Amino acid sequence: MNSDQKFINHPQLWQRLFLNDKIIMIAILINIIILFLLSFDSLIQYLPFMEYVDTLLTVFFGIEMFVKIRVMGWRTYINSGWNRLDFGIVVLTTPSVLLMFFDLPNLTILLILRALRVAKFFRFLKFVPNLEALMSGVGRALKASVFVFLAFFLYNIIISLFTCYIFKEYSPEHFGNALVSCYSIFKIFTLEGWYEIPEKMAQSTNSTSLEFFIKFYFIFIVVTGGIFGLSIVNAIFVDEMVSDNNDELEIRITKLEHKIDTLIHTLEELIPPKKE
Amino acid sequence: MNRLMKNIFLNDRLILGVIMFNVLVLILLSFNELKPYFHYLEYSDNVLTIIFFLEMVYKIRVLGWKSYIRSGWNQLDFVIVVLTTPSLIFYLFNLPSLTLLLVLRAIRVLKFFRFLKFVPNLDSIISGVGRALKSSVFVLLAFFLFNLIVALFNCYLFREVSPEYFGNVLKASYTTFKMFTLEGWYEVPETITANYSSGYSFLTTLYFTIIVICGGIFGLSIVNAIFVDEMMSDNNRELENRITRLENKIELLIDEIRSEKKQERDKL
Repeated sequence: MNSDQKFINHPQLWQRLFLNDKIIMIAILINIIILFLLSFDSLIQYLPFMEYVDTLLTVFFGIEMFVKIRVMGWRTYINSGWNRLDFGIVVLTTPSVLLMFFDLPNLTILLILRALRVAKFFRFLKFVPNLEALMSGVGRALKASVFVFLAFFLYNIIISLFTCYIFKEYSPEHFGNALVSCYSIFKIFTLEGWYEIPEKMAQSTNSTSLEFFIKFYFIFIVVTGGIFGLSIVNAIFVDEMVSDNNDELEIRITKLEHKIDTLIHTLEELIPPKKE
Repeated sequence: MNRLMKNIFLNDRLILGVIMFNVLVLILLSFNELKPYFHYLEYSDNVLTIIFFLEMVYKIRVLGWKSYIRSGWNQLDFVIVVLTTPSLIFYLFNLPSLTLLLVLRAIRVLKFFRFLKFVPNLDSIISGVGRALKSSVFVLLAFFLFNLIVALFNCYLFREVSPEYFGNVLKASYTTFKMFTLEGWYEVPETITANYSSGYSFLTTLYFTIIVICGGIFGLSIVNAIFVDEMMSDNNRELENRITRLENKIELLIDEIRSEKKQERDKL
């Protein structure tokens, strides 16, 4: 029932506990509930208990990793993508166990360690049905769109630098330097509240021509980046996601080709070649 | 000497390094906090502009004008040199016009586009995007026309009521475009109908809703659909070719069988 089990020779009884997918799933579920409850400040009186359970579960996942590595061997263990995910999560969450024993001087590290515990959530993905097909589509789309994203990013930087040099003095709050300008231009690309920027800038001028120059400059940015740019990214994603829709058709056509080829062969055998 | 020039100007990696350095300089120049170093930064930017100019001159001398200008990338380089070299002038002369100075400064950013040459796989992306743009040029034109017509209509209808949105054609075009992007469109009818009776305000709201549905929802969806359609239009090409070959084979088979039958009938 579990793909890992074919690598196992003779696991001991206590080891089987950690190799059972159902038990692991229940442990993950309990852990997620605990993490949910831990986010409510009103439950503060149960906090020590819940922290204790969470730490126990972290230790549980750590032991699970060691058992799997011992039973399967390091190479087979790390070959599987899911095991790699588990390994990464254990590495990231184990430091939070230390919180139980030491007082951390630095509050930021404590916050980060606490937040990292949420990474355990990702183990749930393994139990989502049909995930492989979904992931392969998303992977293909990401691979194809990585260059588009690069181009989009480059376009964003070019437009922001250009706008920065033109409107730096005029509107330092939006285009004061390259970073602020990048953020403003990205905001315009997402179309969210894009009009606020030109309208705010137009308020401080009396010249109608400058007002229209500003407004139509930003309309140009909205059309090229917001409408076309996002459409292109979207189109490339859709294109790659649906590119396996034709797989079945291709197989059917291959079968048809074979059938017709056999037909031609049998006909050639039946009918003697024409005498010219 | 000749060899040295060749090593410098015909080396793509070196040019890429120079472009990257230039981009860094341009980014640093945008931070007012670095004002004490602006002198050096401007100086290095000018040196780089001169380097690109020399690169162009050298390439034209080696390749000849005709073969130089035939390549699309060289055309891009040429245009960039032509546009950026004037910015050197304001180092030597004091420009009287501040706007011209701003424009010249901003144009330097165009050098960035030389980066595109080094994006891998760009040709296939550009051909897809090009196909999409070619077929969407009419949609864009139609969109623009629709925008203008609706804007004119709005201008005559609401000019008196709401001069801040529809006071003249330009203002009305801007407001209509804003409504097409769906951003804050509801603010327009809500401001206009603030002093209206309920019957009028219902009609006005309905009117703007129709505009939003036609331009904002349908219009943008059509632009999007055309992009997707063109990007995917080569997915089925191979399959179509195979089906055409199959059809030809079947035609041949049928012809063969028919002629065979005819011969047999003739014998009888």
